[in-house]
Amino acid sequence: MNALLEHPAVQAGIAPFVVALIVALASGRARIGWIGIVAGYLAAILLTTGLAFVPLTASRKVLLLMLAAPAVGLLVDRWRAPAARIDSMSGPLVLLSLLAAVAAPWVLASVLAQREGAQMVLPAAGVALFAAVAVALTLRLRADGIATAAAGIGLGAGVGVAALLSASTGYFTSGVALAAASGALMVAQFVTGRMVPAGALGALPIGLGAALFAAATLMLAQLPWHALPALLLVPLAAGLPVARTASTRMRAALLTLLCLAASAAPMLAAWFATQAAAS
Amino acid sequence: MKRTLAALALAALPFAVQAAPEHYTVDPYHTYPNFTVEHWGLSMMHGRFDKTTGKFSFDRAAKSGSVEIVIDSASISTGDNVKGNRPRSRDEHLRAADFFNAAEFPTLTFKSTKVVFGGELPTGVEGNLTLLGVTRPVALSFERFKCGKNPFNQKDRCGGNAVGKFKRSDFGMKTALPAVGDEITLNIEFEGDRD
Repeated sequence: MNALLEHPAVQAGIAPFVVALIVALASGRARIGWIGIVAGYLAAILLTTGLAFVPLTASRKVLLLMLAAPAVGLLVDRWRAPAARIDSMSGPLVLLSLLAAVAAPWVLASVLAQREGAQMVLPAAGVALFAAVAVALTLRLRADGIATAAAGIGLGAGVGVAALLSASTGYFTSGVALAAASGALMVAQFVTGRMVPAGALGALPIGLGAALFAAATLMLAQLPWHALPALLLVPLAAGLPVARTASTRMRAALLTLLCLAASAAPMLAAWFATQAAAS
Repeated sequence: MKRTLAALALAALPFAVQAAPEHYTVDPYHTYPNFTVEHWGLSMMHGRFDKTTGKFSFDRAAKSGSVEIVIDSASISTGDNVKGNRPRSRDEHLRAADFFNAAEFPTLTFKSTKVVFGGELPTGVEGNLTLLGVTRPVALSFERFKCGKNPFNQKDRCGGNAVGKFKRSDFGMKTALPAVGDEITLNIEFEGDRD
């Protein structure tokens, strides 16, 4: 049993998928099932590094924010109904994007503090802007559970594989766990044939998680900076008006394929960076 | 009476000099912390850090001393620094967040709390190792500790080999456990010139 739980495929993929699926199915058609995103991510963390917050390193700040994200999302959902217009970005959603812009430099403060001048300011501003845009683009999808889950699959796969190519198995595991958990939420909707809006409860952990995994891999490993804007193609693809009148199952299949295709952009950015470094 | 006291003082002078603490600065070109770790339950892999600074001192008469070593975590080398056709080399991976996290924690430090003597010279040192922001006690024993003269500048010079063990998981370094072993054997080859 231990050997099974120590296998990377189980830690990053199977366990997060199973945990998220159980949470999603157990909640029936209720939106609370979207808490499965963080439950799946948490399963991967428990099977790899375990829960620890002292000292509060950058990676542990990411974990802390991921655990807090569903609670913040629930609060926002109570404030602003998740089934609002898909492009609605007013009020609390703008606030969440601004909070993400603050959170990303805070996560990386220990690294940024060792730098001076432009070497500190440019990465701090860059990750702040990236996190804000990633969260905003993902939150725009919150009324559409299919689009949100597809974005989660693409974002997780994109950042995960790019992290692996950039010398970080830790963020590979986190990214793949995010993709697997989002996949479980997609399967739950596919099986029942009914779309369940993600709300900020589901969309915030997906957008924030992918943004922080990418920003941390940029600063703590070797992810090239241009992989970050490339990753934003995924939530943009998920928001495309594709087959809006088609069945839930058809939309699930189409949007998943579209987001996986978009996730190739950050993967290729990371891959070409490794090739450039070799020459 | 005054002559007797002066004679006694002169006679005692060599002992007073002998009892003074001796301070040494680590020679970075002859000081390399290195380690071994089990890989897949098969071989014991070696790695080392190429940049180290520090100081040590000891008092032969008072049987006391201190050691402070600062290791540049990005200077790790395990003999695999050229990635070739692979995405990344092992050393690049070891510098990243999964292992030594050099961007966030650029140094590892060892600070002594007690120097153990067996006769005139130290035989070991107890202290605190700080790795990844976590500080834990680690004991090092000296497999050898010798003093002599630097042949080039005739300065007093001491050096030796210190060895100790710790678990990397105690410091939060849990990536690839148990495929890459938990127990680390740390071996520091060191030399230093007297200040």
